Amino acid sequence: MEKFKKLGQVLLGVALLSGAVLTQSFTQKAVKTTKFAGEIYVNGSSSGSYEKLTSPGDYDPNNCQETSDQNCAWRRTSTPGTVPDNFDASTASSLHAAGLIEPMNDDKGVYIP
Amino acid sequence: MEKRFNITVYQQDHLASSPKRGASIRSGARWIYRRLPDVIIYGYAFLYMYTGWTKLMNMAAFIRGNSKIPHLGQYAKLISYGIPSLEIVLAILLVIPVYRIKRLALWTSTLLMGTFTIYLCLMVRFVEKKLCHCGGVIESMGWKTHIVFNIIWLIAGIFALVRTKVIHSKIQKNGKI
Repeated sequence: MEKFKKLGQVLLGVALLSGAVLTQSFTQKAVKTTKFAGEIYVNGSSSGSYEKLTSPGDYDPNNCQETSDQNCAWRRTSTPGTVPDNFDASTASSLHAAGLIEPMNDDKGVYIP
Repeated sequence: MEKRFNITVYQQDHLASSPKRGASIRSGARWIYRRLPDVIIYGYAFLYMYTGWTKLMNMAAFIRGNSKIPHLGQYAKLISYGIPSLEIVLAILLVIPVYRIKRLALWTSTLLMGTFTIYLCLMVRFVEKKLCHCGGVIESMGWKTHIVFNIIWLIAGIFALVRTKVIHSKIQKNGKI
């Protein structure tokens, strides 16, 4: 009887862990298919190297230093698709052409918080 | 001669005055109280498997994020591989039905939860650019919600540690709970 009880506990545990992995797959899929909008990618170098801001609310246009002719920041549109967390200037052009990102404003330069 | 009949009028059962219903509620509450440590242990297993697996699936972003943590950024790779591995190992150990293994895993899980809670509090208090690569939907919680969530689990872990010790010592003494 004790053996069956322990076996039941093991099976319950395995089912629970499998459920956790399945839940993770499900939430990851849901996040990918969700329409994103509002993420901000700021320029970190003069050649154009963009990185996603952790909190879009922290963005301050006054932090743009005019040391580059690249866009200071891009904003994610609601167009479905994938935008990496980091990309360079040429990728930014492609993403812009695909409608996935748009310039935050007319500012050019490097974003220094 | 007058016969007197005692007629007893049964009042309608009222929750407060019904001993049967009150007893079943009490026994139900006792049953839940006895099973609560197991629920907490399985909850920890689910939580750690979920967050550990999420971090492993998004390893590049996790390493990148950890490299920006003040003072700990230089150990980014170690932290990024170590924490999810530890979480998954703990999740597996928590479901093994051996008392010593479960207890050790629960201790470690509760300590880890305490560490995460301290990290979050330090982030909120001292760091401007807050970083949380906590895994899955937990990452989407606000900072305060996340801290409250962690504190609840921490308290639950401590409760489970105390109760499992009490239950185990009762079993050893009497052979039953």
